[in-house]
Amino acid sequence: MNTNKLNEISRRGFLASTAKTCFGLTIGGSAASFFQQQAQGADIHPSVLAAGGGKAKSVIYLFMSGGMTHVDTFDHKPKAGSDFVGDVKAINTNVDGIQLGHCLPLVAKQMDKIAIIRSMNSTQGAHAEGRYFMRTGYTKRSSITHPTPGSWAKHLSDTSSTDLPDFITVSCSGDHPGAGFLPSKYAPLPIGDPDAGLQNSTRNNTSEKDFKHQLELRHELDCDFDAKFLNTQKQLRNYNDSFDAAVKLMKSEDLEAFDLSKEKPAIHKLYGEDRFSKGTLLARRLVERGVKFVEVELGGFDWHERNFESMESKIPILDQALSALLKDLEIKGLLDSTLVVLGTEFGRTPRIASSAGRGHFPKAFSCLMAGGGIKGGQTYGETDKTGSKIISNKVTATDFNATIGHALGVPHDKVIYSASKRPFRMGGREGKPITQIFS
Amino acid sequence: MNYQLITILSLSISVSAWADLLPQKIVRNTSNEIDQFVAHALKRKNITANELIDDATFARRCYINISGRIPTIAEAKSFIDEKDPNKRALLIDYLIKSNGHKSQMFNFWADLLRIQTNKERAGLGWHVWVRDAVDSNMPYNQFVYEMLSASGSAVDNPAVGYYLRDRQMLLDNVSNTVQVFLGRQIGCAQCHDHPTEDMTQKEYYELAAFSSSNTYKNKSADQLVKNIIKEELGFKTQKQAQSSDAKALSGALKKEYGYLIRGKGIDKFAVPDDPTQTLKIPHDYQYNDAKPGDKVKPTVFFGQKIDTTNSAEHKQAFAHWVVASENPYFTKVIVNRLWAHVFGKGIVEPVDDWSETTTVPNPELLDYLSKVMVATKYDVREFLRVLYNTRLFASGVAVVEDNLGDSCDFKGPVLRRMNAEELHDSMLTIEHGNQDSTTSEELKGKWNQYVDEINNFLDLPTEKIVALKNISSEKRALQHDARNHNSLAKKARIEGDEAAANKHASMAKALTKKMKSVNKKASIEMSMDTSMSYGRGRSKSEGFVRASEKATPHKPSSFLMQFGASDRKTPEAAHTDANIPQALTLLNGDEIKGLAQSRSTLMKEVRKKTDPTKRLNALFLGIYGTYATEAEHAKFAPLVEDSDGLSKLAQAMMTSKRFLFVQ
Repeated sequence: MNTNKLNEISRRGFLASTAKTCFGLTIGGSAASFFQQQAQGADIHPSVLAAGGGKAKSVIYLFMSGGMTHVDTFDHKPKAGSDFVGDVKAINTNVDGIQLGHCLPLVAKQMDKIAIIRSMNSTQGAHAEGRYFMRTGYTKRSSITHPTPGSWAKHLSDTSSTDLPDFITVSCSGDHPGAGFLPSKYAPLPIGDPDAGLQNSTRNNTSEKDFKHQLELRHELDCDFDAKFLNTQKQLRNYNDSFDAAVKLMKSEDLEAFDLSKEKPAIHKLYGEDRFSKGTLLARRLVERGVKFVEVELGGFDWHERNFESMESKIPILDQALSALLKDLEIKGLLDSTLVVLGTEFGRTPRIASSAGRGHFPKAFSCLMAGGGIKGGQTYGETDKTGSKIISNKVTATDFNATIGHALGVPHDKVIYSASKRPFRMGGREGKPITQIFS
Repeated sequence: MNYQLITILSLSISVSAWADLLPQKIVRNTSNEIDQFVAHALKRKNITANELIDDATFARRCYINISGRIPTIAEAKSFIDEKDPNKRALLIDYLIKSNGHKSQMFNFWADLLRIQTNKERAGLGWHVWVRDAVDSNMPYNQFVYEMLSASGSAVDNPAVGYYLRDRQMLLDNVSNTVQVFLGRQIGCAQCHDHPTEDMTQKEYYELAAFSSSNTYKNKSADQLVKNIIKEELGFKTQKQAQSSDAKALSGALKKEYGYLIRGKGIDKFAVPDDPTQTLKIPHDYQYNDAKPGDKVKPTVFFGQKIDTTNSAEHKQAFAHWVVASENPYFTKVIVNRLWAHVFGKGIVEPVDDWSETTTVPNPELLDYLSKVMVATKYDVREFLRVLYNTRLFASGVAVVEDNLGDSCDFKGPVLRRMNAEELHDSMLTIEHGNQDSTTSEELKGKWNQYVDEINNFLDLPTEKIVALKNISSEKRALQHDARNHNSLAKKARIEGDEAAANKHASMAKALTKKMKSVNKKASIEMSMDTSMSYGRGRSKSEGFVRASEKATPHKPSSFLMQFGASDRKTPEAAHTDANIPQALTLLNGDEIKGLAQSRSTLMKEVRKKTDPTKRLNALFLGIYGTYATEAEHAKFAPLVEDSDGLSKLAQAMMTSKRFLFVQ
């Protein structure tokens, strides 16, 4: 992504003065441009750099939806007894002393890049609440929606190195909180199907003249409507903003990032054929062009019955896509500047249920981080011999999200106020980054 | 105050007397009462209500809100030109009885209940059941009761789809039940005492215990298999049957029959009741009021206590409790939801987060609405009819800031964008005219076919079932071999051995062909898959149908999903938020361009008119539901004189805010 900064400013033609005033102060609905203008972000604090943070320019967040089992994957306890182990066998990795469940042979070969956090803990054992808490660091309330790390990152870092939206979600379910109470310019661009990519992003056989004419006609037709309603309602403002943003995006040279057919068949084969694999590949293409945060969701982890059958069919998809991503980022020299995150809303009961399944288990579960300054080949936190209780270094979503902020070098502990004047932080109320896992 | 009592009384008397719609006079009196409450609240705050809207705006609003689509040229024109002073009430009556309204209300329930047609066969049955309930105007309390008390096989009682939707997830199911029907958020208490609601984890389990008798395995299928194996193997003595050879044989047979039964879904598309099954306190329970492993006694945490002496009737008792008019939340929650459906915001917001401490902005209005609902005996259609007949519904649209939890001054209905289904169906109307009566034969047909086949299967004599089993086993063996050859072919291709690859590929093909002919042999041909094809409503079999006739959830890249249709994972997940992909579709999408050219019914009709004034009027009626004004004629008439200009204008109109938003 070779965008000339000066051209950007003159092309867009208007200043987003709120960019500077937004830092830690009250946010109102603003009439600023949809995309952040190229402005000088605050330098990263030396203490953050000293603690290993600030190396990541982008984040790829892989979200396993439904509650990914931990004892069958990243926190396997081979000696827990048949009531717990079921059909899973332990396999070695390329790091001494770290073993995984047998469905992850490819990830096992990339273990030296990965930090496994085995001491994740949540109080939210229901799906919607669990996902919300994991993604925002706050419990679900009916009175407000909180922002997710992608929106926080964009809001707190204030720099943009691409024409493309800075926060993109791929195949994420409808309950993704997006930008929460932050203005719509921090909302993600949602891609439903990575193979279909960003549809309708070109003028499509319409001449520039006709396209312009359409815009004018529409504007004329909406004259009365705008006179009555313009800017009176958030929904309408968002509607107008996204229209303007879409027109601008059409002119971007980086649009081909969304076109997966530009990748060689060998690369497609490396990642796999599943939609999630395509989504992960798309994420790599996007961060390559400077997109700051891409979240890709893989669903179907809620194995209340037939846990092991489901495991055999689902985990290999993750295994292939994650290992391909890490390898690919490394080859392209992007691993140090890209934080790869694997999250889920909770784990699954270590004791196997009568339905050959596992229930929800928020008390202890596993997540991963790799790249972006993370020291690979380690585990952080420990559970007991069955994976049922945390013995050391408990981590909650607040710490987890603060850690993402630390990797990006953004002020995750900065207090931001919602329109209703309540204070919020990227790292939740008291989240602290796990600096120990950084090199 | 007395007058209200009179309207309520006359409502409930009339409901018993009239099988069809209530007389307009009764409805209008009730609507007037509601208007009084609204006016009173506005006056207290010194706010003026909005003016009444003109006929064109009213017609468009009615068609979209009630029928879920824009009116056609003829429909808009006939209403505007109609001279009958009572035409507005007549239009409401006409629309509320129409198939369009049934489609609209189906979407309403499907979104709330998270109906997933094509996840399981039982989803299809449930979809059909809910649609039937809407079509027959089943009273709301009965609708909920039947779902909450449902048990048995989906083929016999498709309402079990409600429980099958959350198969093996009893705790989540209870959370959804309470959120959807009682408007309360209790999910947090699954794992610990609720931090804000007055509910403990024990109370959560006690509530869930009412449906602890739900099992998800059809034991009668097991019994059937046992009996058939006995007959097939024909052991004469107990000793024979107990020998290790016999056991191995029957074990192998059990597996074979298992595939057959599972393939037909007889074993799993059922929620048989087992009252001996109880819920137990989880083993990591951390509070002092119970011990891990304790059996949980079903109890409700508010309202009237339930008599739990008959353990075989717990689910029914719970269902009764939920839908009772005495239940402090049941009626006001649905009444508030329907108010939000009509006017854009609930009296109480959010509509599904009530608690003991909720402040109701207009308690008299809410109270009155609850009484109306009870008086109509939970007739949702009548209730909506009352709301649609209010002055409030005919008032100019109001803009409301969208902050969560803010209460709304109802000066008029809230300005909103058409939702995904309404937008889809409006585009459909432009393309093909009124499609209210076009149904997807595939949908209901597939379900009926499945029901017949299962019933036939269960009635088959043993020899036929044995024969079917043999065919199923042969089929599976062929399939297995074909798959092996296919993977060998793949492997050979990677290694560059084209000859071997082709050999394996053709073997696989031959085996697949044989398998297909074996399948045909079965005297009862059963399609193993009732999942709907993902069409854009353009496939021949699906025809051109409204969104409510399609299988859900919709494909992620579809128009419906792009414009905010629910992914059916959580209740009410639909939204009308704007985003860039939507804007790009409106700016550059092929679909809309095509509609604006000559492909659509609308444009064909418009092009027939040669006079530019008539042309412009037809265009405006078909897209905006109104005649063009003088100023609009002056501006746009020249444009529509030629074909190209006409298309351009049409396209701009179809993507304008005036079209997308409902005023």
